[in-house]
Formats: sequence, C-alpha cells, structure tokens
Amino acid sequence: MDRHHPDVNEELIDLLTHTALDERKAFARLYQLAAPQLLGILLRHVRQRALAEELLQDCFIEIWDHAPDYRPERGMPLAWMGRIARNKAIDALWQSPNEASSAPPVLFDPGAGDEPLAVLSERSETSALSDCLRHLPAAQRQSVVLAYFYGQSHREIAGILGSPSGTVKGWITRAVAHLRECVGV
Amino acid sequence: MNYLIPERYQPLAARYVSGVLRGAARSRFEKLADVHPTLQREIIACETLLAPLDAATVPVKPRRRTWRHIEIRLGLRPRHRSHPIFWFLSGMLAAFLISAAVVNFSPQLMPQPELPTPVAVLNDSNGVATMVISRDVARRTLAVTLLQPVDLPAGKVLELWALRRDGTPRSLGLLEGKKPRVNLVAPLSDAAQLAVSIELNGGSPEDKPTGPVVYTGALIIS
Repeated sequence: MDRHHPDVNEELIDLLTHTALDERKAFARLYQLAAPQLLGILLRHVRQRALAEELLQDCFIEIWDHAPDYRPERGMPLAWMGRIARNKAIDALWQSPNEASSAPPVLFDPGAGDEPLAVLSERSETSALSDCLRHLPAAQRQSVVLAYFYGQSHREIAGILGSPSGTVKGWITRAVAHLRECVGV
Repeated sequence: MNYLIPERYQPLAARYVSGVLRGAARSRFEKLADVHPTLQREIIACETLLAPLDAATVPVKPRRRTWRHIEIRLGLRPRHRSHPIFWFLSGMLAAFLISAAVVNFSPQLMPQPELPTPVAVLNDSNGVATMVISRDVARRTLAVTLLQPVDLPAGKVLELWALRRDGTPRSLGLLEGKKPRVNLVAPLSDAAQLAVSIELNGGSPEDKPTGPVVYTGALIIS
C-alpha cells in the first residue's frame, strides 16, 4: 500500500469514520489495508512473530474503540494507527523486556546503503527527510532512527552508542529540531 | 510546571514521537496533549516529520487467526463456532464416554475399537478449540484433526507433548504433513494433558518445549 497516496489516505479516513459508526465491513477493510503495515512496525520493534500478532490484536481493539476520537486534523490515518502500534510495542518491551528479542538492532550507516535510509532515498516522497538525516551528526541520526524505527529506549541507545542517556535525550531533541527546520514541517 | 512554553514542550514532543518518552511520563504528556491544542499540533508536526521512516517498513501479512481473534474479542463473532467437525468429534467423545461407562459394568460387552478415539481437544490461548487428538489403539498411533487452520512460519514445526500431572513434559513426536500422526511408543497412563509447541525444524533439541506452547488440552482418556 502506498501510504502517501492521497486516495489511500482518503479511503482510510473514510473507513475510520465508518468504523466509528460500528460498521463491521469498514473495520474489516481497514484491517485488510492497514494490518500488514502495522504488523511490520510491531515486528520491527519486538522481533517475535507470536508477540507481534498478539499486539496487532490489541492495536485493532484500540482502533475500534477509539475510531470516534480520530480527526483528520490530528494527522494522517496511518500515522495515527502507527502511533498506536508503536506505543503497544514500546509498552510490551517496557513491561516484559525478556519477551522480545534481546539482540540489539544492526546499526546502519548511510554510507553503507543499509536500511532504512537507503529505502527512503529511493522514494521521491521521502527523499527530503532522507537528505536531511544525512546532514545530521552520526550520533544524532543513529539516536533518532534507533528510537523511532527500532523502538530502543534512551538507555538502550546509550548502551549501543556508549554515551550517557542524558546525552542521548539531547541528541534526539536536537535531531528532531534540526530535521523540522531542514524539511520545513 | 508550565509545559506550554516551546522550550519545554518541544523536547517532550520530540521524545514522545521518537518513542523514548515512556511509562508514567508518557501518560502525563498524553493527558496534557488531550487538553492543549498547542501540544497536539507539536506532536502532529513531529509525526509528520518522522512518519516517512515507516516507508522503510516491510509490510507483513498477518496470520488468518489474528483477525478471527480480534472479531471474537470485540464480540463481532461468536466465541465458539458450530464447526461440523467439532460437533461430530464432540459427539464421538460423548459416545465413547458412555460406552466406556457401560463397559465398566459389563466387561463381556467390550467393543473392539475400529475408529480412532478422540482423547483430547486442544485449545489455543483464547480457548478456541483448534485440534482434536485421537488414539488409534490398533495402530498404536495418535492422529490429529485440525478444527482451525494453523499458520506455521517457514522453518518451524509443531511438536506434540504429553504432560504428567507434575507438569513434566514428554515428547510424543512431530506433527507433520496433511494428516499428522505420531507413533505411541509408551502408554499415556502417566499423562494429564497434551500440548503442542512450535519448534525449529527437527523438533525441540531438549526434553521439553523450547518454543512457545500454542495449544493445550486435558487428556480425557488415558
């Protein structure tokens, strides 16, 4: 699914609106369209298929319950649902750290063509963020992607990068501020 | 503390959206954002900024049972489906229990079992009946009848276990092929439950499940 295509966003907004009215067919279609993307996010964070599928259930229970709260002005539908998925995964990691894989994610380096920057730069709609990420100092870039993309806590990032967790918090704050200015959001 | 000044809410929003604001701190920030449009706008701006990173996420098709479980949990589908095979096998179980009771009083009427006899119905973690384990006395085997489709990841296999009353597991064998069947090398008289775990190809390397136990059920007849 092309999440940035306006038609897809409009369909998702329409489906969320009808889900808010307890329309099961709309909810089923919403699941069909969004579940693979959300499961991808969950798997990336918890790296355990069974746990990710359980969390996906929790996500759609919450989406069903909170669909009436969704407003288009509160962000794109997939960003809204993605936040629910990320929070579920983060909570699962926070409450039961042993349930998820303890293996740290592979650090990426933009020069090596690793994910996710390589994927971003291939897409015109995401290349602005990709370019701006490349201009960040390496520690800031790695901190923000380890946090957002892999669900690592600031303590885990501090361990991976060998820096105090307070420093990591500062890197993330500065990285987001710089990216906002660079992308123009 | 006044959170409505940019120097305070911007770092919090950045940490919230990037995922490092956790636990009670995250809950407090979400409650504040619910009532302060300024914070909501800041969160949306950060989400809009970072959301393209999700373009690098590989979509993964969920297992079919995940949607079924969502429907059941929301009450959109009856918890117990009237699956014809389930009712047929339940009937067989009831019939066998009655005949077993009769046999206890009339040993001379003991029938010669010809059909495999259901000995356990295994449920998944949501209590949904997923498979029936039947014993074929003549062939000294256990056969499996699936009531629900079982999605197994590549490189994984299902392993059947007998659990003693103290919980000690004993492997009964791997469930492979369209009509899984395991040879019974020892009686089930010491077992209280049957269980199925997901293991790497070749089965558990230890005398106990090393993968998740996904289905369990009481052994009705040992």
